[in-house]
Amino acid sequence: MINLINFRLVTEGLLPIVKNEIQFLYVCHMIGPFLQRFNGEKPQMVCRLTVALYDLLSSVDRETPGEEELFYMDIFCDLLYHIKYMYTGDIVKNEVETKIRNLQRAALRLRLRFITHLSLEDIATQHQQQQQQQQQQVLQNSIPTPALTFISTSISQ
Amino acid sequence: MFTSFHCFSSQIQQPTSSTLLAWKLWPYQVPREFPSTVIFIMLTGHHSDLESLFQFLVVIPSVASSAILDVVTEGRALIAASESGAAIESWLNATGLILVSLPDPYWLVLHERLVDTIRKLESPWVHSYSPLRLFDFKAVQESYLYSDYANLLAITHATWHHLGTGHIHHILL
Repeated sequence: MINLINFRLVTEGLLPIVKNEIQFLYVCHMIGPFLQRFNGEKPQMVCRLTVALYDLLSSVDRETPGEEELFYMDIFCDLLYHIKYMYTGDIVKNEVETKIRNLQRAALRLRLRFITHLSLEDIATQHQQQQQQQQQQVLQNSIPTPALTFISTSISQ
Repeated sequence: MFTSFHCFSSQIQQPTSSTLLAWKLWPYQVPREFPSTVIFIMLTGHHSDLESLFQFLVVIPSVASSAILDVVTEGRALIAASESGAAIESWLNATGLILVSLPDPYWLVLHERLVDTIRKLESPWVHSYSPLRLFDFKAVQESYLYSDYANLLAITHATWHHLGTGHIHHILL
């Protein structure tokens, strides 16, 4: 049973449980129509809501396996751009920038690049770095290092 | 709840002295929303002793508002079948108005339902229609589909629409 009186729906209720893109799509459907009203009455709240939406997006990005493509990615990006150009502007830019940079998928970073003013080269280099890291990890996993050290120590002895 | 009122009305009696005493001894402030209900139950004289009266009246908010929500969510199919298309919006709007006019714990049960529904969505999508279609209330309505997701969205929007500025912080502080 949740303590309903002090319960904040988006940050406390939804952040821990949203894990796939359909859940996030539902949240967008839920919140989207009220942004206009929230902006009129509590502009601060739209900013916090936006940051929460980026949090949700990054948790979806993290929880979905890397090889799966996000099917509704374009819809999410459309909504986030809409929020930026209609309500928040650059107010949340600094908070959001790290979240976008830390996204796992290059396709998402590519689509959201105008929010953080990431250049194409940045994304490309980041992508290359990630790929290199992955390759290195694969190499490291394929070489049974403990066995090698064991052999080398036995040889030296 | 409504059916039980119906059988009371067939047995209306004159108020006895004990029910009038109950009215005077009533220790709580009568909720603003229910004055006529309370008086009606007392005048029927059905609950002559205080204890059963309390049991009947004091229903915890989650039970009461779940019942109100169920009128639309469970009765949705009946409403759509028996009345014209525009009626369902009025029902949803009325539900929203009723929930918001009650104290906070009543309409906050809606948020609990939202969390439950979103938790349910975590399992893989098995429906033959796309989520975009099943979340779209108008599309669902016009194609004679039934979608819990769209219904809950509609009730949520109806309720949030009637919320005052002071209540919005419940959505996100």
